[in-house]
Amino acid sequence: MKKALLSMTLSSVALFAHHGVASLGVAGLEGPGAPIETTSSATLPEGKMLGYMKLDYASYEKFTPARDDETDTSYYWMYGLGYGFTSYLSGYIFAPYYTKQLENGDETSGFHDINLMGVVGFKYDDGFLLTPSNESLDDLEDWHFTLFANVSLPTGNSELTDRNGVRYDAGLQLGFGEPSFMIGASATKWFGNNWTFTADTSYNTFLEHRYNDGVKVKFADETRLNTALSYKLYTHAQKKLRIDANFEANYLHLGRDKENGVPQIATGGDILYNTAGFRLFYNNISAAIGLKVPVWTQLNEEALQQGSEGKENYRIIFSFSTLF
Amino acid sequence: MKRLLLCLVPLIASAHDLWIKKVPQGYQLNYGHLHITQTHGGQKIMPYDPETIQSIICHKDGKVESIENPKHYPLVVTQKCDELFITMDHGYFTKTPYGTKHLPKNAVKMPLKSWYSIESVKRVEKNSKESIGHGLEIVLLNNPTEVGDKARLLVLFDGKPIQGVVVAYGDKPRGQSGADGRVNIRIKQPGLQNIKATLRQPCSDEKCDEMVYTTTLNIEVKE
Repeated sequence: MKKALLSMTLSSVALFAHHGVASLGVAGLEGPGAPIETTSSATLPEGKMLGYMKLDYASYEKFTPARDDETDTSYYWMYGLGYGFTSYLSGYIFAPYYTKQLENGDETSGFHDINLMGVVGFKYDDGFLLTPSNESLDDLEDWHFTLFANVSLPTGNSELTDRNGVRYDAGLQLGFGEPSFMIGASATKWFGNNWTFTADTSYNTFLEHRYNDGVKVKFADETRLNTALSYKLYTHAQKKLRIDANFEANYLHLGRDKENGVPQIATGGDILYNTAGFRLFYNNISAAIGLKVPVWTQLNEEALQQGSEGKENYRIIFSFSTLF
Repeated sequence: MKRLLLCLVPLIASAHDLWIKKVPQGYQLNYGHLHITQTHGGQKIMPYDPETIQSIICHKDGKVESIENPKHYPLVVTQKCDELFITMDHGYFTKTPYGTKHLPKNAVKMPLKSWYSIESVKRVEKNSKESIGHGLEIVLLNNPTEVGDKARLLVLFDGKPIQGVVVAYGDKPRGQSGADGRVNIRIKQPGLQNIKATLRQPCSDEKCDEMVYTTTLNIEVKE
């Protein structure tokens, strides 16, 4: 059971992706939509800043009726600030705030490792070119892409202890203790009508961390593949309001965590989620809400992995962003 | 950008078209509605005052030549031109509670809004990719030949790139010129293309609120 917790924190790490950027939400009524979980290929306009907030709430399936150390719920808050250095290069800083609650009342809560992210945008228009500063609606129909890279810095506390002074399981800690690295790519196609297709993939890897008690943990690598369809449901020109519906398929592959170099049971596996929700654009703000549920899982030791990815009852995702 | 576009939708949607049609005698200047619209039905040609034609410029083999206005309706230019550029000066218009008057702001009672309208049209037969250097102008930088191609455009004012000019296609705003004057529009229907750019600038005197420059690019794309 404890081992399953290892993976619990990690899955949310890759959710820093710059999805939900209101690049067109600012403008709003025309142009491509933006999914909820899948990373769109929008970059920030040059000289503009983005304020971002996201909540990912997870409720976990319980395996036993007893009030034990099963994972109950988690709240992954994310606060971010982005800046458009050029039309094709955006930078972000994210400060996650996590609360993880167990059934027995134990919880850890606080700021997790700070993340830095860079995004390079490009497109295909009679050849590949960096995302230009000015695009017409016809240009926005071209395939757009991004490459992104993310590094987390070990600013969170990775040595939290319970009331008896015993170090919490690595999965309940508020930091990885070491930097982690992610690279990824996204593609977006607006069909010039109500429909937008978005896809992204990313790979996340972690360095081995040695805790004060001498235990060494290396969290498993993570691979993601997300696809999304967005449909423009409603627009109101005078109010500068737009509402999109989103439907996504989110695949996650988790490897096995290692403790002191030994692969751990009850970690890792493959999960496919579906996310359905809505995004609202209003003036220069964008807000999204979605319900994410695991629809297919193939966990390594499914019966032992309470509290890990794929064992959620559901996740509720809310995000808010504004460009200024 | 789109916020501005939205503001301009009603303006552009209600505007008339100016186009140059190839006729047996040469090129004929037409005014009205080029394409079928929900508002206006099919193509509709409306009369215009030939006196409003300010200039007729013929670009042929790299040379720019001014042609004298024959002041005859409809205007037919018989010279062969690689590019033909015609400018019309419609003068002052002022909106009042009792209708829109063809007068400057200081010549009417209770003016609500006033503008000075200059409209131009360029037909490209053989693309020089060069500027004529006169008023608001769209320079075609490539040679779109079929539906789906992009027309790569350079918007100039008196020969210099100008930013923020709204460009419409099929009476719908599709983009704005960037700092380098560039904007791309995708060809979506065959035949004569009407790509329209609109620039609004403050009026320099008390006779109007703004100068409204509209220019149209005509190119033929195969059926």
